[in-house]
Amino acid sequence: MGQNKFPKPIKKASLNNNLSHRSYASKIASPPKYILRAEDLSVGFSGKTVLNKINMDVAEYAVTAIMGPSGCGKSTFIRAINRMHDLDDKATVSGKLYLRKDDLFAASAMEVRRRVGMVFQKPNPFPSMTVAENVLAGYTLNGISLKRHEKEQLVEENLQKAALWSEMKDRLHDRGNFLSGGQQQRLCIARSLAIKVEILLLDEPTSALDPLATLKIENLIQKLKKEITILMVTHNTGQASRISDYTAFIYLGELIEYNKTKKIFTVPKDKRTERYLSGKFG
Amino acid sequence: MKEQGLGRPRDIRSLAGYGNIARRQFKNRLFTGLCLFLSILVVIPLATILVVVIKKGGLNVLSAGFFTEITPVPNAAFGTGGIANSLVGTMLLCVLGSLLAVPLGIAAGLYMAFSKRKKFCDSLYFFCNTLQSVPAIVTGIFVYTVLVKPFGSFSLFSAAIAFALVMFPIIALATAEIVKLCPLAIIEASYALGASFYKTIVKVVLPYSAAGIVNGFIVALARSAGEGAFLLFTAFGNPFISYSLWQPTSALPLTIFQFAISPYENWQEIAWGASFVLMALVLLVNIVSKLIYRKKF
Repeated sequence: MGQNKFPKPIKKASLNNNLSHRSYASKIASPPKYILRAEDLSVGFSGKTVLNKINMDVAEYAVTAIMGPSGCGKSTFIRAINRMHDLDDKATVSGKLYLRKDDLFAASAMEVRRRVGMVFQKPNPFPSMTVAENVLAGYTLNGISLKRHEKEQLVEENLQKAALWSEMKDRLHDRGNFLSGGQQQRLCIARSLAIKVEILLLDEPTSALDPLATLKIENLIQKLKKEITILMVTHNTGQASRISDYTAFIYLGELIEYNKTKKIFTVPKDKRTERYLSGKFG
Repeated sequence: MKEQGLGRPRDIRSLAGYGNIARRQFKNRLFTGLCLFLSILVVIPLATILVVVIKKGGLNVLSAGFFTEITPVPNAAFGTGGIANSLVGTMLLCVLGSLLAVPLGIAAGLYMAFSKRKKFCDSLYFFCNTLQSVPAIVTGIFVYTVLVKPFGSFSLFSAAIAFALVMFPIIALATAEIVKLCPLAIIEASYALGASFYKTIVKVVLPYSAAGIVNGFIVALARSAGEGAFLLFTAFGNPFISYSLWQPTSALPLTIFQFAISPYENWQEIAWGASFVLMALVLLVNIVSKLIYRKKF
């Protein structure tokens, strides 16, 4: 397994979100075992707090699932990582986010987004572009010109990574929006992979898809974690238990519990997690 | 009434039977008939215009040299002369006016759609709406005062400015409206790949909205090209083909106006022919725009 090549990502102590701000700050200088760290991250819209002081580390080369009932702030959390709230005037973000050692709020949003890929709930390939152009969109949109062989290589490599090559190799020049929903979503994943992001955020990537397409995406996520860190939001607890290595449970804007998936699903520490997992609410 | 055949629950069936069915059906038919009658009434003038123009002007167009010769002198023989100078003038105006109005209109439309300074955008919107409803003759007087008088001559240049002023608000408003329809999802997707605002607009939003913007442009072009009032103050008219920016120029609506009110019969014939050509052009342009729009949406 690819995972063994890398340092074991999570230590028990740092998984505990009750750690004080100070103890987090003292650890930042140490070599990154975690690719992403959130410190007291709060997000509000028009003065109303949606996400309240989240402290969380995200393990490298693993799948971390964020689950919680609708409106709990899970999408708000991952959109903060990609600086998507910059686009909304009403959003206020406070706290710190580090990708490796870099402060994500100090860098320019464009730079952050080139390192942090995002796939949205609804598949959104660019309708005016072909399949191949969609894969290369990250380059064209950043004004980087590629040579022909580089383009061909990038398209094939990333469509293969996204398990789409065999279906798409004869349709590279078809418009991206004529594909099926599942294919569109995998195309969106390929588009993010093509710019070699360090972490891939998935915002309920399968909620608009049928079970078969969902299965394909889930298999793909399993395969991809060998090369890339994946942080996904899901409201499907079954999905979280199937494919994630770590699971965070967010409820009413608070990080309630964060642990290895096995532990959360077998011996949840918090009553609310237990109630959520047993379907009592959410 | 058989309950099973209608498949309605009992209480609703009894409600449906309430009142005088025959009277209600009569009222319904009366209303439909009235709508039909009124719509036919509206179509009659348009159809009449088409018939008269085709009848009076259609034949003239067929004469040799109608498109290649310049306008004839008064009382020349029928069938001599053409509208070449007006056609050239109108074409030049279309090209120059579009070159001015399209970039400005699209830029203004994009700004109105995307800027976060809402109050300023609202006033821009209001400004464009007002400019759109300014009568063309007022636009003409305005351009006459600020361009024609200081330069000391009627010119293609001043006419092109007036032409662009008529086109600009239509393009700006159409762009703003169409660009707002671009789904947030694909704009977000572009930003999520690290694209700048500029690249997002050029590579994602504009290609998506292209058909709508082209449609807006064509509507603006048709409106401007068919408008004659502002030309009286700016282009003035020219019996010869002129390509100079600083010379007066002829244009189709201008020729129609000047020739139709003249006492010379051969000029009146030319005016009918020019009307036919102008109408055919505007109609063609409108049909093309509809086709483009339908293909996209």
